[in-house]
Amino acid sequence: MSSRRSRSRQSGVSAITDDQINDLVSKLHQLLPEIRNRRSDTVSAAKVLQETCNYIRSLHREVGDLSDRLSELLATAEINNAQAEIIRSLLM
Amino acid sequence: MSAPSTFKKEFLKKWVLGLQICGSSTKNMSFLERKKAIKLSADVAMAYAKDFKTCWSRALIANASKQDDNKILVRNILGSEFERLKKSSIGSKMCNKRVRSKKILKRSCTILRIRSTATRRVLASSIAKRLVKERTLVLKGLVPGGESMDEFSLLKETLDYIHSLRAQVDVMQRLAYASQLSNLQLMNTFANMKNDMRTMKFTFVTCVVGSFPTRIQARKLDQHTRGYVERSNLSGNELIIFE
Repeated sequence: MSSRRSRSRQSGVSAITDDQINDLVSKLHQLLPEIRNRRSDTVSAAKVLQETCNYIRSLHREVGDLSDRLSELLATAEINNAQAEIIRSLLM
Repeated sequence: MSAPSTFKKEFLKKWVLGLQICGSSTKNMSFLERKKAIKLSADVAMAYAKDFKTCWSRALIANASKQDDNKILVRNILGSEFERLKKSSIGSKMCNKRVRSKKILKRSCTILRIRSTATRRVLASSIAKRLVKERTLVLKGLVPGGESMDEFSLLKETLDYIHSLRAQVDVMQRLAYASQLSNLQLMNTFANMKNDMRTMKFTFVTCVVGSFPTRIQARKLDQHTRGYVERSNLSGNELIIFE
């Protein structure tokens, strides 16, 4: 049946890239700001995915909070060309 | 690593450009409008700094330009890039429907398999697989353009997306910190000026914070000039002012 065909195709693809997927998962695991000492060798994919989702959500929230702060701070000052140059040279 | 810092530089350049465009278009924006504009230009800049090489950056722009009021700003920031992107994004929408129906079929097959094979070990691994699948779905919702990606590309895009988000947060934090300091100094300066209008004397203080100094914009009342203070000694009043 078509489902069996798609299943076999799926397993064929995953056999080739299984190691690569594990490699990516471990890379993600290293990025996450959790305690890296425990479970450094046994990485559960489900846990990594969950932590990744939480991390992305927290980063989104931080961007929102920073936009709030900047909205207050930049209210008084307009950014003209000269200031833009200064900001660029300052921060980088 | 030089790659994150070049990314941050590109991001900052494009973000400041976006902020300038926002500022010039509507002078009196409400707090929420300004916040939305800042966030939008930050997101567009983040995607632009990637040169639209990644899937998430293209999807981010596509999502941003769905709303009409955002579309104008996005177009202004991107310029000619906007048209090029529009043409390439049409093809990606077709994948969505196909992937969704495959997902439903796979999920129903998994449920049937779980019910028929009752050994605990198989059940545990099926639960683990189910968890992975569910969480992958959640991740697809978080990463822009994730819905039409297979697992492997999703993971790659997620890695890149997280790196870029961190850089974005870092640059925004620095700007917020710098403006906070300069605003504080400015407020102090204005407070002094108000108290002492006749003598027109005021003090400048600049601080070197971490790796970057801050600058203050101030007005010398007697000369009606506006200038920027570049650097000063912490104790003295030596200033370098240039227009």
